[in-house]
Amino acid sequence: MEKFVAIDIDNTLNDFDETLKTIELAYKPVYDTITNDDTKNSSNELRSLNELLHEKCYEQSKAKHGAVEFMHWLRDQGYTIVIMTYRDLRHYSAVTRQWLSDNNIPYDYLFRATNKPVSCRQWGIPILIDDDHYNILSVVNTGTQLYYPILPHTEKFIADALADGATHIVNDLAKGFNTFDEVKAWIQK
Amino acid sequence: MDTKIKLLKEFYSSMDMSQMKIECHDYDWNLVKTFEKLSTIDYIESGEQRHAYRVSNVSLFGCDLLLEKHIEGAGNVCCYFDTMANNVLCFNLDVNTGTDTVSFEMQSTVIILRDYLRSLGMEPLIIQTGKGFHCWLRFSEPIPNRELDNFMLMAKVMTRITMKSINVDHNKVNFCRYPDNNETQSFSLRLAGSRHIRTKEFCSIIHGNGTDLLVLAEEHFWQCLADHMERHTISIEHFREQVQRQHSLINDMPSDNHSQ
Repeated sequence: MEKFVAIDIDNTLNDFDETLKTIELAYKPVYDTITNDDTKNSSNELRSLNELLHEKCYEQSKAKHGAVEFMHWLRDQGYTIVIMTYRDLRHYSAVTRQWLSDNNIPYDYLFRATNKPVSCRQWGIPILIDDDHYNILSVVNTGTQLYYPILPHTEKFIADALADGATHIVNDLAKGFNTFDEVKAWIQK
Repeated sequence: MDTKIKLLKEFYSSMDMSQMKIECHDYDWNLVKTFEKLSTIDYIESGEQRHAYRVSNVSLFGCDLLLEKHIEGAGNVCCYFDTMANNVLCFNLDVNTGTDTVSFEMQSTVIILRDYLRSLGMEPLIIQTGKGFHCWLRFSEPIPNRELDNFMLMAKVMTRITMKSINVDHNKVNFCRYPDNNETQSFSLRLAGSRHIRTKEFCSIIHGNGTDLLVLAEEHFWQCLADHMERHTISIEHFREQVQRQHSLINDMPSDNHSQ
């Protein structure tokens, strides 16, 4: 019987946020006019800057420690590997595939999904590895086993949710990990 | 069925049908395996109601099979414009508001655009698609995308000037041009001759004059498509003459219209 796993790229397989802090861009005077208030920004300039930053991060980010070895382990275990990303693949499929190839990361399919737990349920994928903290809430409804990298935003989200009384988010369906070896151990059980 | 497939291939002859995006409601691994026999899957967009399969290296057999499914309404085949030159262009008019019906602003836009193109001796093939319209022009040979884009920009400007003059809000209509010079490989466009994947309604040809937007019955679609190709394919010479003429017209206009 075919075994499936879905895994995210940004901040899961790669160090997107860390890379973002280091991106250098040629200066354009229009960047001085961009503010945090979207209603005041010229949308074209902000969109172009946003796209440029993302594309550079997609190209320049590094694979996280243990990620490549983990992906090869999944392959050796006979998993069908679905890379499941929020990236707009209409624009970024080439740079995505190039990065996966450059980093020797094996996979079988490239998916774009905006609601990953639902997509996993639709496609019969029981395991999702993804850093998006909103998945922690959703998997209770879809029954998808979620493994998420423990990052500042996930820790804060869980702490805030527990403080609000959402104790149901602490369950076996959503497990945080520090290393890919932990995920291996859970999958093997 | 063969005649219909042949018509589609002829109408869209400059599009490379070895790459497509197929939109449908179906999703399972058997379908993926089927696509893999016909093509290479580049990526899959998994939505809650619709799924899209971006494929390349589509075999000749695969192309015919997918076009057949498109015509039957099992899914929508969307194709990509050539990166350099095309023998078709499309004004993709889509709605900016959250309504489900064709708005007054949308109707006005398509009428004004239609009449403008007709004034240039160019008869568009207008297809109603969901809440908007696709307005196609077809040429006798591929024209460089740069020229097509300049022309479409002029047409957009002239349409918006007219809308402004009759107090119709052009901000309520998304006026997209295909081929988009920078995005030919990113954005595909649904081919004519199928049911809209979301509304499930057949995307009919719109005809008429003045303020009439008459929906052609589905059973007449293919004959109308064939007739349009025979009678309204535009020569490159005529296209270039009209572009020159329009440049002069725009240059002679008062300067506040140029900012459109």
